[in-house]
Amino acid sequence: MRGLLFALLIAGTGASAQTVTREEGLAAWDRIYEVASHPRCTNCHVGAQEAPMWQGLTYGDSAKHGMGVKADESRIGAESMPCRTCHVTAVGRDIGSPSAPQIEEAWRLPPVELDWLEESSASLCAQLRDPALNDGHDIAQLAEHLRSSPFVAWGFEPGAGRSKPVGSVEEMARDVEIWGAAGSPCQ
Amino acid sequence: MGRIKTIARRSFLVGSAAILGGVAFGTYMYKREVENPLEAGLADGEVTFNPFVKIDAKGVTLITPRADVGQGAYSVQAHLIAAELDVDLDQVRIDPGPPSAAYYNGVVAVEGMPIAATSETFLARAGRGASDVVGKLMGLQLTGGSSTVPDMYDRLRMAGAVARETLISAAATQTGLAVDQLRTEKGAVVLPDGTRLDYVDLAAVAVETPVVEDVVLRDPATWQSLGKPHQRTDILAKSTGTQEYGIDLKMDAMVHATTRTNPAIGGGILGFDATEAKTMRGVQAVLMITGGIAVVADNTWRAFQAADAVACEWGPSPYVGDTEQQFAAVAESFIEERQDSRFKDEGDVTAALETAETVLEAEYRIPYLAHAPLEPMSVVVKLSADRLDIWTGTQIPRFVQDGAAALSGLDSEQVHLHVLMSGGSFGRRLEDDYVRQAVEIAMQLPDTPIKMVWTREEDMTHDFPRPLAMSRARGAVADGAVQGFDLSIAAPSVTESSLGRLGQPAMGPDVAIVAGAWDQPFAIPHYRVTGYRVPAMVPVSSWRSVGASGNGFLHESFMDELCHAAGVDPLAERLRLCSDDLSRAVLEEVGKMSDWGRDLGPKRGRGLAFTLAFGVPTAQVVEVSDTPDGIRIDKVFVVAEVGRVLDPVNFEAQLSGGVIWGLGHAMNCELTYEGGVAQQDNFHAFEAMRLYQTPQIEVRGLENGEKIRGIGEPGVPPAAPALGNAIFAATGQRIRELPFSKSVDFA
Repeated sequence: MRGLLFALLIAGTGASAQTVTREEGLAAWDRIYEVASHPRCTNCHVGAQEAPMWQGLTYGDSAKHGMGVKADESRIGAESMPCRTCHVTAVGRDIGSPSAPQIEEAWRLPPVELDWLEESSASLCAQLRDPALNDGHDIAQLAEHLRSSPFVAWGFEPGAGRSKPVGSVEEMARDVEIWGAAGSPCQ
Repeated sequence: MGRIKTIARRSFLVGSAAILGGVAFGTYMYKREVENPLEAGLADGEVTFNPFVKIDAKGVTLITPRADVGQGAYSVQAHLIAAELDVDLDQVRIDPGPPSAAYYNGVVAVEGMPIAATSETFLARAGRGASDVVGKLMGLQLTGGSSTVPDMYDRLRMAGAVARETLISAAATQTGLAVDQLRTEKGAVVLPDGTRLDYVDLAAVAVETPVVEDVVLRDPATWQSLGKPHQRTDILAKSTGTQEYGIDLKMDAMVHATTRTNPAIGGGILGFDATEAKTMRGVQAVLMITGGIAVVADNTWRAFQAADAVACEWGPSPYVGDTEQQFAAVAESFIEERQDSRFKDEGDVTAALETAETVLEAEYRIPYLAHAPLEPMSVVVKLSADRLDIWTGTQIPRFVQDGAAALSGLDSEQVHLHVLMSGGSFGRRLEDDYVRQAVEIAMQLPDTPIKMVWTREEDMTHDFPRPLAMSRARGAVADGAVQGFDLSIAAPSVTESSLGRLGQPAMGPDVAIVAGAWDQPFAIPHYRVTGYRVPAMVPVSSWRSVGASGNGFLHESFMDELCHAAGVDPLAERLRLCSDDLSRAVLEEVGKMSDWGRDLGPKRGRGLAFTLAFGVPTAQVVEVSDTPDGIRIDKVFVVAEVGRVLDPVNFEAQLSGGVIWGLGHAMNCELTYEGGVAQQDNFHAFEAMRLYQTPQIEVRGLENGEKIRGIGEPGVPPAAPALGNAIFAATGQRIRELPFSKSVDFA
């Protein structure tokens, strides 16, 4: 049933349950996982941990954000020191590494339940297709989130000197739709 | 006496040419009283009793000529004088004074001699005396080598006592009372009826009073402040953000400059195009200087921006400029022709290693390290026809003065150096390269105060780093004991490199190559330490705790390997081998503090290291946990023996800071080169220990020794090996290359 529902939701995008095979869905998931498990994403999708990670930089795999920050319950550090103290909101500036990255929105950590750090493909897949575990998103909303989020956009264009995941925002959004149209297969 | 000459010839002495050049002249000069530089600038009614105390209508000034680079030197110097002069520090001004031969350092040169701190032979004492001669002859005004307290301890108290007794004498003259009826208290001479004659008011009489030189220093048991916790003189300003450092100095009509020199060290500049930079807002000039360009603008930020916009054509670095090649050169240096020293050679190491049942071999590496003080190099200069003023934080005021004089064509007396508070140094301010750049700018822009500030990137990539080094160690164990230890260390010579830049000769072996290794107080039956000098590569310099900073790791890690191979407890074995009572007490104390031997449970480990450096036996125990996120450093115990602790608070701060400095660099830092260009240009790539990683540190000072010692540096050398030994204890992984982060993650 879920597959059919998604097919309806994405009508008009060119992908449909009728034309998307399970294999294509799994291939799309693999591409999604490759992005979602990239340090550019997992550094902030850290779950209950209050500090972002600094993986993929020069600090080692276990390195947490070095300034002793705490995201707190607000996830923006409002209770201690807001992320934007350093990650000043800015428009259109290419802030290269190693300066504090900036985007056109208040910097923050994702909700605790969106814990992607060191999650396996199977685990992350199960998490993302279940609205109870993915901050209440259905597939269409996930795709919409990808297309509209300044964080996601920044992740694909993070400024000079930073590694970035393969592909683009649009390609990832399309992969989510394909994956959804195929019934969100995980394996 | 023949042997003393031998020592002088065979070892590095700062300015040893002066001694060898003529003993008669040297003796005459040495015996002559040094001039009091304060006499030159005295106004009517001002009085000075010695180079360290000046009194005028505004009050008392204590001269604290050892640079304060964050280690609390001004504070401890002021307290030493005040302890005898009876002034409260909030009553007095503290002034680093002018550059002067009177402020020579009589202790620091001993670090360049192959004299073990534990040795009390005639020759050892004579050598230490020679250090004082060298310092006085050269007028060697230098801050470093943890020498401020041992060098100034008697001199500053004596200065305070002479001033006090002279003021009492003046008061006796003024009142007609006998000297023994008078006492001093809080900046005044107090008469029997309680009347207070302020020092300031007595100054006019004191001008006419013969200086009382026959004074007795007070018994430390009567000290009011020394030996007890006291507030550092700079703590209020530093805690409230109002402390002004060199970089904060402002002047009317001041312009702002920055420089760019070839990132490939020593490569020089072939040409540049400043067309774009000259059109940028606020830019006033783009000038050629030695090896690069300088931009002058109306503020520092604009100078930085414009300097980035200058297209420079750089030459190639003349040095061995790739770290891989540099390590290869070190590896090739363990050969007879490059043997530099063998100050330790006991027993028959060769035979012991040939016949031993178990022989261990290991190779260790340590990288180049930048000083990276928080305040990058900066200086204000103003040059007029017959006068050059320089304001900066420096550890070598007289070298700066003489260097600037030579460059500008002035006499040294025409160069007025004003020493300012430094935001860190760790040895970087033993150089004057940045001052020379500013003087070059001033020569093209006379009669203008110019503040020159480096970017962090310019600072870190043009540092003179601690040299890289390698050790090859072999050891023999038998019957549950360490029997043989043959340690060879190869490194470029810090002393040759830095003295060369100061125009001083450096002869004989460089003790820094083996410092903290050759002179350790262990009676291993067959024990040898050999230094090999690697031909100069990129220029290098002293870094906090100098040779011992890395040699502690090379010596103590392998010592740990030997203990484990012998199946003996590392603390018990060191105690069994220890040949020095003061060191033994330090080891015993750290064992007690850390409850050594207590089982820490799974995935935890404890490492011990001991280094005797700068005359201070220091032991550390580091406790770590092996967590899913990596190694977490839980706790560090430190014990050091300094003879007398002058300020328990600052003592603890210096040792804790040394531990954090030593651990942080061992965990995370290396400076690597490609084509002569340093690859790490800011703190993101040269990372300190983070606050959340900082362990609890428990510090204890022992006061069993007869000699007072300095504590700025001795906390550093045991930190890295104690951590490495702890990681081994927790994980079984023996890491032989720094930084540790190449091998493990840290939580």
